[in-house]
Amino acid sequence: MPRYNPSNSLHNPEKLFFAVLTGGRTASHWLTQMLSAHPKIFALQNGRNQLKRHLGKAMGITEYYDLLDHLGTSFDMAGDVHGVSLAETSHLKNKYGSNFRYAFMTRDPITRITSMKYMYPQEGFQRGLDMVNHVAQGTPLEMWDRVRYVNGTWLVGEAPIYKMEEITSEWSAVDSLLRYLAHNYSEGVNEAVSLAETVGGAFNKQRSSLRPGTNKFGSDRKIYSAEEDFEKWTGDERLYFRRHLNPSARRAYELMGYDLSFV
Amino acid sequence: MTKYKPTDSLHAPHKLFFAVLTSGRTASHWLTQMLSAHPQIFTLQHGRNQLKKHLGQDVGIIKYYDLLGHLGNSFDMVGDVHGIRFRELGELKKRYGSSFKCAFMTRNPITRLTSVKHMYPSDGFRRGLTIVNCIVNGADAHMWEQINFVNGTWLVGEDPIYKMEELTSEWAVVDSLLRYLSHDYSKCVKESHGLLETVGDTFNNQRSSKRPGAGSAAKIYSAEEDFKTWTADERKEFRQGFSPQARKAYELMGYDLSFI
Repeated sequence: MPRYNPSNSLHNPEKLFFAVLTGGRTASHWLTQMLSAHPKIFALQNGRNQLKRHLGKAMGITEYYDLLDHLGTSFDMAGDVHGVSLAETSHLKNKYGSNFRYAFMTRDPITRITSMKYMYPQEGFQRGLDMVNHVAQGTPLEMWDRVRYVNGTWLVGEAPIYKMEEITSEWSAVDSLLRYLAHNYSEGVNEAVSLAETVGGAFNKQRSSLRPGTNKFGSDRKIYSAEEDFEKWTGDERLYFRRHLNPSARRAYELMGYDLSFV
Repeated sequence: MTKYKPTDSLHAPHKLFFAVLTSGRTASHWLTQMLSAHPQIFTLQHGRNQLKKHLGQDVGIIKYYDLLGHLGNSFDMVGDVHGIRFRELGELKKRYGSSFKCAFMTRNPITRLTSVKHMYPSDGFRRGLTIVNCIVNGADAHMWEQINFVNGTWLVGEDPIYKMEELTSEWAVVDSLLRYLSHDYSKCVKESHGLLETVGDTFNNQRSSKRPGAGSAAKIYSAEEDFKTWTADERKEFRQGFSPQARKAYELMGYDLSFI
């Protein structure tokens, strides 16, 4: 694989690039704020879509990351949350080599669909089901057959999968994601500015309403009870869901520890 | 003045917009990181220029700020450091009304010029002198005749001026800038987020080398010592080329230029 050529970067030859692949209603808004809270990290939430809507210019993924690099000229790490598809990660790996990393963020399928229903009263259920079956944006179902658990982390191929419920409520999960994306602080991000501590400071000062997975960080109390959500669906919705939840997606979710026994 | 209409914003009807006007070698890189460290603030450093380089054309100030609002759709406050010209402020104030605030950041002219010299060995002195005379990016030097000291703050028109030396070394000055840009937390930036506390953590966690004026600020940036390192020709050219209006403005703001 071609290595990232430092001369491609005008401003910081050690710059790191990242992407977090996820779907709707999975705290990508919150995660963008979290990552941006570090003075060395520049993150956009699906910025390519905003650029397209606003400037009328559709961009390929490498062109978008070139622009991310330049817009984030003051930062050591630049990346996108919720705006990169799995197929596009190979282009970024070709361009940046080991200076690019990506991770997935997923969520309990029942609470995700419930959230979609609230957001789109008309078609939210179907949209949510489609998303649940694809798990991560643009991800082929087949890849979820390859989910495996290695050294305490769920992986699809080489990329780790984080659960929204954990990342928004457990500091160790945030720490893990940050360490992974920032190459364990060992390359371009300055160790002296403690990544976890700085983001942690901002994190703990966030209003609880902006922490989707919990009322209080570190609390055991779950505010997302999938079983309770499921019981609130109509009988037709529950029936439809049972018939149309893709078996390989269900298997992947259960493999990652989501309890779907009540479905 | 036309008031900002909430309907103009697709994502955050109470979004705040800001600009910090400054020029080269004035810690804009550092300030961008500082402001970005707050989870509710989205900041680009001269992002419009980056867009221009990338798209091959200037998008214009209004379109740039519209785009800033959309790129920063996860944030309550968005703005730019070092990318806005003085003459463009009117357009932004007209569009966003009281939801827009701007501030200036300046620096001792001697240390700034010395810094530009180090950055551009061949033509840094001339470039630095031009910047020093204009003080803020693209500003008409005549604006500095309007400088006023009101309630403890230097102002150009209604907008405050901050000194880089103070901003990068005194927490009270950072506090003042943040309060000013965020409307003293009175509108949409959530008080409970602890704007100052959060950015303050970052400020204190920054390596001292990243705080341009931190630590022994007075010693690191001794204008008189810097001046002595210049060649005799440079000192002479500076005395001849330094605009009297700019000198008056700098001295009014407390910069000691008596040794020139």
